[in-house]
Amino acid sequence: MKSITIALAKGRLADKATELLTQAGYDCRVLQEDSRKLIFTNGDGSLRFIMAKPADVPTYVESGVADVGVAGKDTLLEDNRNLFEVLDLGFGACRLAVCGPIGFDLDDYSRGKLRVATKYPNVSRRYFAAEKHEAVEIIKLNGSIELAPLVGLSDVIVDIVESGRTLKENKLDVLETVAACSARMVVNQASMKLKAEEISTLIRRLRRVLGQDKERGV
Amino acid sequence: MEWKYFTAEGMRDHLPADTYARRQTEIRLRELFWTWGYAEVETPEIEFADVYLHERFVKQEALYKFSDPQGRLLALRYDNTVPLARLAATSGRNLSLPLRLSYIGTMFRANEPGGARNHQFEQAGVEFMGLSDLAADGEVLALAITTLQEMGLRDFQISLNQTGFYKALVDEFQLDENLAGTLPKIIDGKEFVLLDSILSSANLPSRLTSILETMMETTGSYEVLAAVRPLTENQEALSALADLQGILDYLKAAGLEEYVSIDLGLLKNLSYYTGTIFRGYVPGAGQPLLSGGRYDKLCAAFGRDLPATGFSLDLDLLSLSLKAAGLLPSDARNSEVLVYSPAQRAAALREAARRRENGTQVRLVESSSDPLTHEAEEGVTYVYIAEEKNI
Repeated sequence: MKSITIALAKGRLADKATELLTQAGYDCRVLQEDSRKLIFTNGDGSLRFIMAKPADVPTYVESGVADVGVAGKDTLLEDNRNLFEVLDLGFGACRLAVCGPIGFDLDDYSRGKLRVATKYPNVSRRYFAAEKHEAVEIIKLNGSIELAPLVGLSDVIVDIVESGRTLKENKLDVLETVAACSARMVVNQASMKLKAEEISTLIRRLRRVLGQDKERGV
Repeated sequence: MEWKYFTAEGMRDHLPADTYARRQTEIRLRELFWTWGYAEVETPEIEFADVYLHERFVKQEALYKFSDPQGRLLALRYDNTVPLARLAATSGRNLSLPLRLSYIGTMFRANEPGGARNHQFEQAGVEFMGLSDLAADGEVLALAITTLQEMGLRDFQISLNQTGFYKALVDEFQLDENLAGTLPKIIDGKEFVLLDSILSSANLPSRLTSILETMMETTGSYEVLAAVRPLTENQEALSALADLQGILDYLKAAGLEEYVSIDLGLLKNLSYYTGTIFRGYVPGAGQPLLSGGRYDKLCAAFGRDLPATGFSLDLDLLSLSLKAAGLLPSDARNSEVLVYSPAQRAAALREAARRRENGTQVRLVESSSDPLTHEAEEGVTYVYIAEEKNI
């Protein structure tokens, strides 16, 4: 039995993932201890956890230092790594969307070059190139993206929308949806081959917990 | 910023231990390829960009480009298969067929996804041109496996597929161009989530859906072929499965079948590969360090219709996996330091020459202080020359 290394994003995503893994029959008690450690090994040694920043999870998995990772679809889209994206874990549901002042017309090109504020420059550039054949001006921000169109830094934003409350309170609206997002399980390409048995067992067990096994006939 | 202190993006220095290990690896690869009859050739590091761009073998942004004094676009060598196809169709026209060629060289790739990827790296590989027989695919794959074995690796896996299987599905179910173009990336990336939503929205026949899911989920040996065969009556698809069976038989005859698993979901570069396709995975590398397959249309693009198959091995990733397995060739062997006083220089130089002839590494230290006070370096033999008559 080979041990599997799992990269988790600290915070809510890790808590949810731990819950799922426990339901799938994996001993994750080691993660309950209040600790600042970054690496944990569970009781029977079947799983090793590394705690990373959410945006870094794909990097750890692609390089192979982690076999498996749990990351938001938004991060995966932005990073565009060579990974196997095998499961939708369901939690962390939200959407990536183009948002702007209520009534803003994205297809009115008289405005000149569109200015887009975002934490997701790659996703934004690709979306406007593919959907509108438009090269937009990207303004990279790190938080409170909604502020940008309010103060005239940008025309629109591309960001995560969950409840839409922040948008509403700032008189902004979803103009177009870029992608539906949720937490995904990703697997390193080499690990999928070299630890095939352990990883397919993990996938099968998680599918059963998620109720995704019946519709797939596995 | 003063850039003089840095190596350029994606470039790096190789220090002595690293360089020594790489050169030793090259020597072993060169010897191995030679014993299998793959003659080494060299193509220029600089090609006209047209060599790579005219059939869109490579995306233009992935090439390191500049122009010659006449304003023609040049590119640094991106891979060696495309230049070897050019060679086979031009300067190598009179070499006797089939061609068995090998190379070891430096490649340059710009704009690779993932910032930590090297832009300059070394590849070794072989190409078998002029034979469309399965025995050629079998031989190339057997050599690929033998290469990893010769390096001392044991815990590796090769995924094998035949691209004709997917192409037959596209024809049989008349998938539209858009869907036929996006499905391979989804299947290859094992994006079950996306596949589910596409399958349900595209309203595809359930037989196709179950074949696609099987392609993504099933890997193994002969039993995979046996499981998939009943799912189709399409002649092209069955012939692709028969090819895979033939290659497994070849590897079995070579005693190498344990390293290979069939993976019908391995679908990369379908405009390039025309049959067999494979990827090799080794612990410590994270990414496939070996890739290959059959590319029967490439040589024709240079004016000579030659079927061809081959593989390339990423030597940077190979180093990583050798290091992880503790197999990196070490330069700490037969190393000596010879310490002598200035008066003994002639004798010391004679003695050093004698020892070097036997293959020992000798570093000289001329020191007017007492040689015995010289601080010793761990793992190195010290030789002191005090008086000439003592030698």
